[in-house]
Amino acid sequence: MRKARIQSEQVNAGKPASHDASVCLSNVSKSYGDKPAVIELSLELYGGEIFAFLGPNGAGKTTTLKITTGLLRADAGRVWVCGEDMSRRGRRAKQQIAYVPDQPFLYDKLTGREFIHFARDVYGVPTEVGEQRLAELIERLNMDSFLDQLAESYSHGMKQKVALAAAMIHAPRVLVVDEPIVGLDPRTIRVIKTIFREIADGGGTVFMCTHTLDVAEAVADRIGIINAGRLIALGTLEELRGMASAGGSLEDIFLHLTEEDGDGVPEPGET
Amino acid sequence: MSDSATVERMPGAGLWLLARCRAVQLRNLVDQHLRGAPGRTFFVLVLLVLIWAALYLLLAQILKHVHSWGLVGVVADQHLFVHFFLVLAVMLTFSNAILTFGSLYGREEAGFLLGMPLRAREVVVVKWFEGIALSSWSFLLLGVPLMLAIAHSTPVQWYYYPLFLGHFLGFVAIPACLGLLAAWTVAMWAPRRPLTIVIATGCLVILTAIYWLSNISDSALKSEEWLQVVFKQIGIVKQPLLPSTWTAKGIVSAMRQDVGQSLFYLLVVLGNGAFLSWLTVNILGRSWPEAYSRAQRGRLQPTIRRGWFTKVVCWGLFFYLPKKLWLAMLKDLRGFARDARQWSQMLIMFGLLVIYVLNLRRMPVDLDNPQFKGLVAFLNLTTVSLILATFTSRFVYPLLSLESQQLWLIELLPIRRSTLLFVKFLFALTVTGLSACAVMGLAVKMLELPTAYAWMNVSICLGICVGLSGLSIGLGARFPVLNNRNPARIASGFGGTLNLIVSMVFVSLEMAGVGWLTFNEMSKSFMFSKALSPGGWLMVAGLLSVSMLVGAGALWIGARHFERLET
Ligand SMILES: Nc1ncnc2c1ncn2[C@@H]1O[C@H](COP(=O)(O)OP(=O)(O)O)[C@@H](O)[C@H]1O
Ligand SMILES: [Mg+2]
Repeated sequence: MRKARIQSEQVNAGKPASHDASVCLSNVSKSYGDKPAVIELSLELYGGEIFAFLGPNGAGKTTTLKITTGLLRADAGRVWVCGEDMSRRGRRAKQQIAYVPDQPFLYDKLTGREFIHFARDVYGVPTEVGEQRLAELIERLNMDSFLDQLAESYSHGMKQKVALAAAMIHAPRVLVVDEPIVGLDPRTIRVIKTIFREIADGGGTVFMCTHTLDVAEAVADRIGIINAGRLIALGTLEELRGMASAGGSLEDIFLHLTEEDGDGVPEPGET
Repeated sequence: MSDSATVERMPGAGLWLLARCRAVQLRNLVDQHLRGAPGRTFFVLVLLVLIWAALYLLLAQILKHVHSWGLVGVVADQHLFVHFFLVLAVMLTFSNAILTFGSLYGREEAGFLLGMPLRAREVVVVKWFEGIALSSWSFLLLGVPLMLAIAHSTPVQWYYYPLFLGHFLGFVAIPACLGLLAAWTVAMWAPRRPLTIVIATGCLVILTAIYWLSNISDSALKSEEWLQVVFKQIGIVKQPLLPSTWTAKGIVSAMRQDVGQSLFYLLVVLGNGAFLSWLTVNILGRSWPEAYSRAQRGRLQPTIRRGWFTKVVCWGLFFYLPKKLWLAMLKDLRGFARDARQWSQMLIMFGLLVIYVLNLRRMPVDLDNPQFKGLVAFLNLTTVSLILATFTSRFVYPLLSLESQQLWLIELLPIRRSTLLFVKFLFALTVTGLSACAVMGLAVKMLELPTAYAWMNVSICLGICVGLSGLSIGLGARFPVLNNRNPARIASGFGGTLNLIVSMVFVSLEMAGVGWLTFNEMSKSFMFSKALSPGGWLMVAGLLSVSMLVGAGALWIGARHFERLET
């Protein structure tokens, strides 16, 4: 089925496969030097869904996200975001998307508030609208106590919150998040899950990657599993259960699909 | 739902936002320093002024000496400035290239900006501007003392000052652009080995310098030929039409009150700077995203061999240490050997010095004249000391911060903390002392200085190593940076800046003494007397004790603080 889609794309190359996809990767490959990181990956994400990208460390998740957001150029293949070609009309595409990297960057000598204001202005959000959104985010993410301190004093979790707020300030149609919950407390994780769900319910797309399975299991509408640069499974949780014929939890499916040889990883109790 | 209507902002709007963001950062930085630590800030400023005054005095002295040579002095002015600006251009290009490589192609800020709907050109223009601003610091640090020193030694009109300022600032645009272009070239075509490129370029510069030196003079020179050679040399520098030559000529014209010619060269420099800037912004504006993407290929990581080499070296250098300390030393030595940034800078600097020293005899300077000899020996020692001061501030100072961050680890070792401090001091002293004394020894041999002066030079050089190592280790332990593991950041923090300034003041003090010694002892007899006078010996002893006191004092302060530091 994946093969079939790839072929149909090659026929009408130059156009996104379907115009309603909010993110469309077509045959994307990327290698670092001689080392392939992503191999012929095709993927379509739609408005209204939370998509979780799962894979072991070094599988190529971060690389795929960076290609999606226009930070890296693919060696081959095309990327569309909301119908805009990332390599040709990158600025229009980037206007629709927001990216929160796994190691968020903030300017050390700006306060969190100043940083978010900078993002607001770059995305061209009117001041009143931005302030309203910011007030809401401050309340929900509990940022009031530190937002007016310089970012150099922030912990990892605080940085992550501010980066997320800066990414949400222009109400992006596509939110791309790399390992969103690493280093956050349970309360914030709950809030973030809720925010993701709201974005999706409002017609937006959340594209997140993670190697923690229960988050994916809890919030994702669809899941893609990537291993060694190749997409090896794609579908809803139920569909994946069916594919792996392992039944049971996502952990079983994941281990079954990503195992190197036939043996698999024994259960803790088995040994 | 998204504000996509606003995406087509006016061109340049992004530029304004980026500039405002920089301004806010700068304001916060100044605010933080003024409010958080006004005393410290004031102290740093005072010390800066001191350095600045020392530099002014040094330059004024040199110019006075040069001018006292009469006709030769007239020619030598231009000669001096041509070289000054050439060296400045090379240094600024290097530092701009290294800095912009980090900021345009590194992981941090560049990735963030690239993810936003900004025009690449807007980001590049901001980086260009930062490069100019950064290079303009060199005007404040070097340019102003030079401008005033010239004005002190030559009668000038009021328009000399604005012309000098214009020439200097017009000139810095060129190395700023060259640095941007160099970093771009590396990102586009050789992102995997940026360090190798830096070293290779350094070697290329050295080779050019050799070629240059051997070109100036093909035979040993007699004093009468000197003037001719100087003329010839200026002729050679003139021909490639280097921007440094235009600036030098423009400044000399301003000194000689030839406004028309000075303005002409100013326009030439500005025109070329503007063209180069336009070219740079256009090339980089088009291809920055591509270059960034290419630069993200990982660096090649060399695999470490078993380390027998460092072991042998460590044994050879520190065989006298007890086993426990020797092991601590081996760890430091390996850290040093495996951080190519550290020794490659030393290597390039001292390599350049060795080549220069080996070519001393071929220089178009009459080395049979004791006055020249004294001046050259003095300048050699100054150069070596300044290089040492930058090295210890940049690389030795962060050692203690890095160590303090893992105090829990040290606690597990059966070594007293102050012993550890001493091991680090010994390490720094060995590295700096060996390289500096090698170069200085070679230099005094090539200069054929009388024995007393030779020993004086080498021993004072060693004393400076003791002082500088003690300062960097002591202040490093006194003001450790505990929340950052990046040595460059550690070195540029408050303690690092303080250390650099104190080191510079210390070096200036020592050099003032050496200068007094050299010129005093020589001017009495107009040649080197066989031995130093009693006053001279006293001065040497004084300078050496100052070094020891500074080194020991700083170590003591550092050790006290280090012992008490909480884990
Ligand atoms: N800058 C880089 N240079 C070289 N190799 C890289 C770089 N970034 C990632 N890789 C390699 O590419 C592969 C995919 O990495 P990445 O996308 O970061 O994986 P993930 O996010 O799934 O853990 C890994 O094998 C990694 O080693
Ligand atoms: Mg990753």
